[in-house]
Amino acid sequence: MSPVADNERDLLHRDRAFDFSAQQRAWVQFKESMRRDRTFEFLVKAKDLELDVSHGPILYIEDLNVSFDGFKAINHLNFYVDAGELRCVIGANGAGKTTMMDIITGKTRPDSGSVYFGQKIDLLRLSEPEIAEIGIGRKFQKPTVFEHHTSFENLELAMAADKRVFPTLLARLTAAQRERIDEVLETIGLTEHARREAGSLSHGQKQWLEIGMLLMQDPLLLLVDEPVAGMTHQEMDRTAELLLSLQGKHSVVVVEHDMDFVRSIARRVTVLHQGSVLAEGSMDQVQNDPRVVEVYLGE
Amino acid sequence: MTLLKGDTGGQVMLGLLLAVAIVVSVLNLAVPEANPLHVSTYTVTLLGKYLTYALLAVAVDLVWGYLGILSLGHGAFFALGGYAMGMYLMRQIGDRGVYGDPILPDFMVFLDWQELPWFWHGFDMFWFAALMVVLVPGALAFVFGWLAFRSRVTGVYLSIITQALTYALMLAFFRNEMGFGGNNGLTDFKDLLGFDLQADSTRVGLFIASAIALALGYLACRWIVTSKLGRVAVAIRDAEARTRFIGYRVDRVKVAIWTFSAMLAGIAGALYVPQVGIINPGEFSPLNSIELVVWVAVGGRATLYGAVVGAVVVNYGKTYFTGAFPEAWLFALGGLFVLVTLFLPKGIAGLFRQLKRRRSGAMAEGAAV
Repeated sequence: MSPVADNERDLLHRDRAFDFSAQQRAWVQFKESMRRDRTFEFLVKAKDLELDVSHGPILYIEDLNVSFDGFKAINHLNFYVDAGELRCVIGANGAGKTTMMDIITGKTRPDSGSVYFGQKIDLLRLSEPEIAEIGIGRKFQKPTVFEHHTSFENLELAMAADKRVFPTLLARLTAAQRERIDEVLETIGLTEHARREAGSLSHGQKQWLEIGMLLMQDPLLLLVDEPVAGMTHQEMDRTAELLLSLQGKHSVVVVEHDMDFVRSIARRVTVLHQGSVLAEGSMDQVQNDPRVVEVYLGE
Repeated sequence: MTLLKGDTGGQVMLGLLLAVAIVVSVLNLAVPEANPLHVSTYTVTLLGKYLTYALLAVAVDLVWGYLGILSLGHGAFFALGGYAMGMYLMRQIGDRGVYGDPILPDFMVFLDWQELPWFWHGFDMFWFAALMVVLVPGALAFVFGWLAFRSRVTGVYLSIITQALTYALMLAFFRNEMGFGGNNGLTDFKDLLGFDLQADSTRVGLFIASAIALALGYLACRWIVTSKLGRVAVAIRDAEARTRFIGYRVDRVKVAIWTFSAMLAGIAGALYVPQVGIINPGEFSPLNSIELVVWVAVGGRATLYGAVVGAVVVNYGKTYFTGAFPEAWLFALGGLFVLVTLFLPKGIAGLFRQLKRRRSGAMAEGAAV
């Protein structure tokens, strides 16, 4: 994508149409703060703002920079994910995929740039649990489920609920919650294994269970890190189906190395290289992009 | 009784407890001493002591078996509960002590103290002492847990700190200046709520109270472990970081259950003291706390009823061995621990479960044939 087009996106998004100079930006901000319907918005905690996806994207990452001891892990990164989209992110080791996820989930703080969830929620102002609470869920590479609990109980524990001590002590499953758990069990294909201890599930089933635990938290955006690492082909197909079934209801960002798998699920693929977007488009477009071939696929 | 659903071991244990409580009481009070069926008061008190140990073991199993916190200092909470009860019993002696002082316990007169230290006030009232039995261990556990769990101290480090806690308390209570009777501790008790502690009926009453406390404590722990909080506790035991990640405040869950466990231990200590008639700093000794972890391991971790079985079996063994071969006891205890770890990693409760499974397996086979 050319720099001009990038700039146009910028203009379209987040009401930045007048963002031509620092003075003007200040003036716009001043006018914004004077709007009668949101005069005191700066007093509202970011996590209490509503998610606003009226312009399409659910995630805006703009001009993001992070460096670790002089190494630029993320370099002027611009990245957008539409609401309901399933996006794949590929890139060689060190391209900045995991760092990007760390920044979105609040684990790492960037040096500069902005990360917005919808148009209003500034993720850089929120802590990790707050980010989880507003609906961004993350699945790590290595599956960790509670081995001595059944699949059903794993989902029950992950379920969005009042998680303080006494409410938890007195919690009883309502019919609606039970139904929700059954529904997720169905989605992840573990209905027959609902009463089995999670420790005895296969590697693939554990991965699905973990995706199910993410779903129980009702996230709007799911970040999934290498979901098919170590899976058999059959399990991979099942995972592809599962992730495809999530799009629409949830926005999903999948980081994956396995090209066959990416091809089987991706509508749009983003290629990261040295901390910024090298190419973006359909799998075919990306694969035929000479720069991509040079740095990643061609090796 | 949904609490005991699927808990065969617990049902059997509570049934046995009820039967023993009734039979032993009747055989002690209603059967004349000459009759061979008579149960001596000594035995009643011994059984009562085992039951308080069993309650203590249940408290340890709650935090070790279900929450993954290996406490090597639970004896401290037991001893604190015991001291609170001991202070009440001391104040009950009144002017019947050796020195006949109506207010000051004997050891204070002996140390030439002129007035009661501030922390001894209120212990002449049973309700106050009863409150302190749970509040003092509870408060110590709360502060300790709050500091330790918030700074995410876990595993061996935590075990060592709990050990240090009980050791420090032991050294402190040995000092006469602490005002708890120094190394002699508190003893020479006369009566409890007006009942003579030497009377058979009082002994039986204490034995029954211990049985009731054990049953209620068991049910309370069972209620916790079958609740969602119990499942969260096991989740913390198995994957603490993951539990934090899905939104539970791990430190708070730990502090809550840890504090509850300490309170149970305090109640056990309070029932123990009037039955054995003495409480001294030896109860804080680290060895006691380690021994009680052995009871739980022998009985079977994370079963609750296993803790009861372990406490009774090991203590019966201790009573027998220390009588028959006094020198051999510690070796027997050490050997027991090694054997259980090697051959019964899930304790006696695990053995029961295995036998049950084998039998139902054999039955299934029989049905197939």
